[in-house]
Amino acid sequence: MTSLTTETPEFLQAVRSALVGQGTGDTEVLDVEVSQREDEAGEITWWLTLLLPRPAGNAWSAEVTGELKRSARRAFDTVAQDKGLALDSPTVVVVTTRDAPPSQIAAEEDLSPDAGAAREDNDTDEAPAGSADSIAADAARNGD
Amino acid sequence: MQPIDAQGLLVTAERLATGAGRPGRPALHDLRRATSTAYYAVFHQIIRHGAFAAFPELEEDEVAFVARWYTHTGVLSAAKSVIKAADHRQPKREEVQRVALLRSARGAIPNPLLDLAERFIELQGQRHEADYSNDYDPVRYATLDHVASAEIAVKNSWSMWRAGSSNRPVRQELWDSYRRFLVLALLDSGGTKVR
Repeated sequence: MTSLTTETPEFLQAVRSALVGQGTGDTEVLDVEVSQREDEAGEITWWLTLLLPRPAGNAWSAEVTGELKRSARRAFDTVAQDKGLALDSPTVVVVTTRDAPPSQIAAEEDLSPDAGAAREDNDTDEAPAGSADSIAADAARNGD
Repeated sequence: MQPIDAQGLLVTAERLATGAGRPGRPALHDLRRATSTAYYAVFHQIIRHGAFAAFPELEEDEVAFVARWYTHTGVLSAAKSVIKAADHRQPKREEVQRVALLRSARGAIPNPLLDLAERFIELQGQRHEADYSNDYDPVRYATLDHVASAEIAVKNSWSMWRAGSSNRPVRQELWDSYRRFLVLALLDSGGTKVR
């Protein structure tokens, strides 16, 4: 799913006014990110990411975030309708935080093309059998 | 027979999301698989209920066969209709009949069904991010919210399924709404298929 549009500052401001401050405690909305994405059926949908404080415990209450998402969706849909930007497909609302400690964020991994092969064959410098590199090496050894 | 079990998938999703007590930062692909597995717990629960709702006398191997008639987009389509049916705004003309089919005798969408539809749509979107997108949110708190949300969705669907064996009118009405959703999801999936 890729973000398809950039919304106008006026619309984003109206959305923030409607949503920021909703909720209480560790589920109070601090900010909101808005994008349009294509869903599994190929329909364009609004996608709201509610930015919350980090949870007080190990996680937010999913009952509470469920209620928050529903009320945020309704508030957002009202704004979108007022601005003539309502979409036919239901708005998706998700939650996350920008306040997570490093211990709660996945470590970045080696994303080089041969990272997987390197993990599998870490006892040799040779390219995996059948790879473009190994074929080229074989060709070089064979004088091709 | 070893049927796919929603509870088993949830246990796996939680183990992946929490790291099963392993110290240090979470592994990115554990979080991705946790989100994906949480979604599949809900999906498998729905399609299993759908198979039994259509053919109550099914044996376990037949359940697996019928359940595969359901598609991700078919269930998504029915879930979207639930949300539209719960909306106070007038549905589009082409959706009036679908919305009417989903509403109970009281003309309303029961809260557990609306909750299931909302969580299904969100989880399917998150599952797509987890399985395919470079923009997957690598924050464990968010992943745990996906897993907990799936647990509630599975619990809700189980409660609606159990309502079918109740004599209380309000529980029967709940089951009837859920059954209509399951039928619509099967029809939106394209109905029966030959594999």
